[in-house]
Amino acid sequence: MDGYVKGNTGFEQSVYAYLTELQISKLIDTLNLNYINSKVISRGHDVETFIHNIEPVDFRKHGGNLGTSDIAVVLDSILQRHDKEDISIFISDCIVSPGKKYVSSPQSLNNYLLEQRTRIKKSFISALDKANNDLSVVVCQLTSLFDGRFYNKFDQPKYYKGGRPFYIWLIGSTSHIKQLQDKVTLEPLKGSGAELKNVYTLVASPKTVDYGILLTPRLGRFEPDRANPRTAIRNIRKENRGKQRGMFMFSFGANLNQLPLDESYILNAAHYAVSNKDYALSVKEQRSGRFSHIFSLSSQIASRGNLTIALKNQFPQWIACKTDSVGNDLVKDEATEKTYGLKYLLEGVYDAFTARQKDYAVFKITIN
Amino acid sequence: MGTFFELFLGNWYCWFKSFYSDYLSQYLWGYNPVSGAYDLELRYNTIGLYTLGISLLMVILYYYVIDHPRFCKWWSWLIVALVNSAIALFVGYYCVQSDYDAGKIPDELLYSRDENGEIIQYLISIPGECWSFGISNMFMAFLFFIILSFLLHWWSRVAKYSPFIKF
Amino acid sequence: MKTYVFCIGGTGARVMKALAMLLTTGVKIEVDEIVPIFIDPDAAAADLTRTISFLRDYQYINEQLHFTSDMKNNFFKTQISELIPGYRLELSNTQNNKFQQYMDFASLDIANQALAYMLFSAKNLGSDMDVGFKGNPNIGSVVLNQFAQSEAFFDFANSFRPGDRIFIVSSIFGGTGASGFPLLLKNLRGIDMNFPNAGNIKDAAIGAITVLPYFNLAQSTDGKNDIDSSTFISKAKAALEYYDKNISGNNSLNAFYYIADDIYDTYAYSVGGPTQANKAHIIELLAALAIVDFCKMDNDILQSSKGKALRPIYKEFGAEADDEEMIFSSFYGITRKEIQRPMTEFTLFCKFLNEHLSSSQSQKWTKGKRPFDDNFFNGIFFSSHLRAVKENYLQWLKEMASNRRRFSPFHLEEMKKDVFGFVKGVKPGKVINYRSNYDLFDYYLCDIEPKISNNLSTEARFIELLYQTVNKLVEDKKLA
Repeated sequence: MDGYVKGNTGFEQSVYAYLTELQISKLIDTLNLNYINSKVISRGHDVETFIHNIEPVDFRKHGGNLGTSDIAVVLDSILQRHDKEDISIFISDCIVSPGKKYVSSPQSLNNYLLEQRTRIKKSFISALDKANNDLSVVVCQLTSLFDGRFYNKFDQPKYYKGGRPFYIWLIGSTSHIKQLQDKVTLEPLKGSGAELKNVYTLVASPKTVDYGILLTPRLGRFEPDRANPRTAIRNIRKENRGKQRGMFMFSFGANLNQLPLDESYILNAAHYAVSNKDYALSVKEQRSGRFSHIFSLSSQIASRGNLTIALKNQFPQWIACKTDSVGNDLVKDEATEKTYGLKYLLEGVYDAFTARQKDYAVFKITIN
Repeated sequence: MGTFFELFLGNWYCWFKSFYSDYLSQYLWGYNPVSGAYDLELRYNTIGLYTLGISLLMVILYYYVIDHPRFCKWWSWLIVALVNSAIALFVGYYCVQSDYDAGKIPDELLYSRDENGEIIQYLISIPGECWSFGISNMFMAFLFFIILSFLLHWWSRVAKYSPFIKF
Repeated sequence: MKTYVFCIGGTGARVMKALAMLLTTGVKIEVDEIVPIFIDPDAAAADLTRTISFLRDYQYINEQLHFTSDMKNNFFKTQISELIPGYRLELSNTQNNKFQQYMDFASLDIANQALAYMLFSAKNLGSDMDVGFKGNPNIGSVVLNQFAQSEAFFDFANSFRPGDRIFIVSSIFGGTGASGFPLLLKNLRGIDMNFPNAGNIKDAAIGAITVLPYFNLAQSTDGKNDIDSSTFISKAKAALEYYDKNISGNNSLNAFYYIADDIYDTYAYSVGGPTQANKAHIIELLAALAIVDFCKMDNDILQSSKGKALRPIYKEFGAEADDEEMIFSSFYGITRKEIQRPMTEFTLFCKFLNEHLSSSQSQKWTKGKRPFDDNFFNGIFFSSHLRAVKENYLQWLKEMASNRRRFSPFHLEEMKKDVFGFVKGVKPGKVINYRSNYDLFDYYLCDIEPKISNNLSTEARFIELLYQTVNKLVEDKKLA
């Protein structure tokens, strides 16, 4: 991380701004600040000293092996210390560093990457189990000025000065993460020199999402089934006049407020799997009322049966784009904005989450 | 079995549902849009029982109180049946109108609002649908009158064979 | 148990008719069967013809009704039997014969002829007898002697049973009655022992009523005046003297009834035949009540032995009020009790048939599992016999109401707004029922109809239904 902290970088400023915001927000009691390499080194509670004392020399002063840092190990130690009332914030360049060993056997690199993925998966699975499936992870990709030596996958250094991505991971219970996101957003960090590029949120929540059939908006007619009025409808009829003749549409509302997902993620119909292809889904936000969002399903065929709509945990495309698959030379590989091995790290997290909770929310509607 | 009795009045009312909107029908079934369940008062039952009760009174009045040799032809029966229906019209109208005035009909069934809370559509038109429900109540009352007449005319002294001898 | 009623002459016929009317209305008579026997040479006497016709209708209806425990009906309850065909005891040789031919005057010797001339006037001897004896009992007493030889008398004796009673109705002022009554009585008490049941007949309970004059006869239009009502009184006196010796004097009768009245009316002159249709008179009704009274008496009062009554009873009729127009309240309680209720019931019944039946036929009581349909109303029971009875009864009431002394206990005209106010002197009571007049009648009909037994024939059901209805109406409205 030396290159990010030389002088007064955007990295320092944005982290400083963020941590300060955290303190101001009164969301947290205590801020425990640490450096981490092969071990966790506590740095007290004062943000000022933490940030302004970050110079390459300081990293050396405080010990630990600054060389090869196995991200999987680092994440595991963070997760081990993580308590359910805590929020763990991990700031790193997240570059996977297989090391010199692999110079002689580059063909084993792939295995190393896969192994990283598996280990991260295991760590997160235990963390999920420990947290009773109440865990969310927000991975934010930011960019900052980097000035220093860059070590490639074989640990071969080369000087580089320019923008480089770094990552802030937020780990905590779903409700805490949600509160954090609501109160202290990362957007304002833009002005502080670091730029927020992408976010990947993973959510696991033991609570089922509250949802229920609504009478409007609709096209055509139906009746909520008396036996299960919230999840079943019957006597469906298509609209028989006006421009929308022949269409049938019904809506249900769901309360997705407890999920710390981005609004744009929720409103994107592509993120949903609808079991019956006859029905097309659209999502709208609702400002007031019991439900945060209204889902409308329309069909010209108006078939009957059981319908399952699932909000999927979609692995973002940007991750592959931002993954450096070569890892030799930043400039030559055109990987200045990419991170080596990023995909494997995040796939590991993804695998852990989808193993424990396949979808963010599932809605089952019966149509008779 | 309990559900059968609980729902049978409402089911009969649904034969005449076409006079008024689906939303009013859902209200009368006791649909609560807030909870998404049928946990409000099943108005079909209450109004149905009033109408049934009035029809019963009219049947008893015709067959056992009036029971008059000069008022026991098919047209006398019809007059009483029509009076009963007329009363039911007003009962139906009044019940829905007073529910509306008392604010018992949930907002979500009355109006469709946009994000800002502005009304974009009136789902139940008041007072028009109060009368429409009254009309459907008229038919129900006539039906009740026919059935109760069939059940209760046997012991009438004079009007037993009213309206038809094969009754 | 039967009572044989010998009805002699025109008065006998009219009293029998009155009795039949009373039995139609359901007056209680304590015997099961009345056997009328008319003795009248006047075969075409209009009164007799009318009476016989009425009896036939009555009997037809009585036979259609089966008086079981299912029936509460009192109308037509007592049987009136036709023992001898036509009810008439035939008098032979009175047709197309003059009196002198009848008594074979020509074959008498001079002495007897002289005697005959003393007893009978020339007019008498030259009388033809088809119409009776025209007020001449001297002829009658000769001619009527024959009936003991008649086949009818034999049949009568044959049918007589112990416990049966005999009653004789006659007028004292007529020709047939005055002579026939003592003769008949003599032939009964002195019956030839060769007759069947002679012993029973000889000592039977025998009663009689003799009707004293109650009308005048106008002068005949052709001036012939074979019957002169001015002689009625004198003839009565003569007869009474005879009775004193030969009837009451020798205890022939167990019960002897007298009835008389002031003379008010003058009838149109007629010697007899089809034109002698006297209007019904209250005296005839009251005379019929004597028969009722006689039948009600206990057997021990009416004991006879060796052809003589042991304790003869003599009765006269008295009314509480002496009004020219008599209504029910004019009579004492016993009479009122006997006749007011039955007559009111039957009159209401007749009024209903006339005034309201056609509108009532659409009511519920005529429908149902055993309906009173067109078949019934067009059948002979209803349209022929019952109608005849009703017409005759109402006619009988009308005649009495227009006679003098008048008996008009009812308003016979239609009073649709006060249907139950038809009994004079009686204000109808109120019932707790908002229906009134014929609507009330219909209501009662519909109410009672389901309770009538289904074991009865349609005819019997009809009478039973109407009886129970008028009975209840009269009861509830306190009309009797």
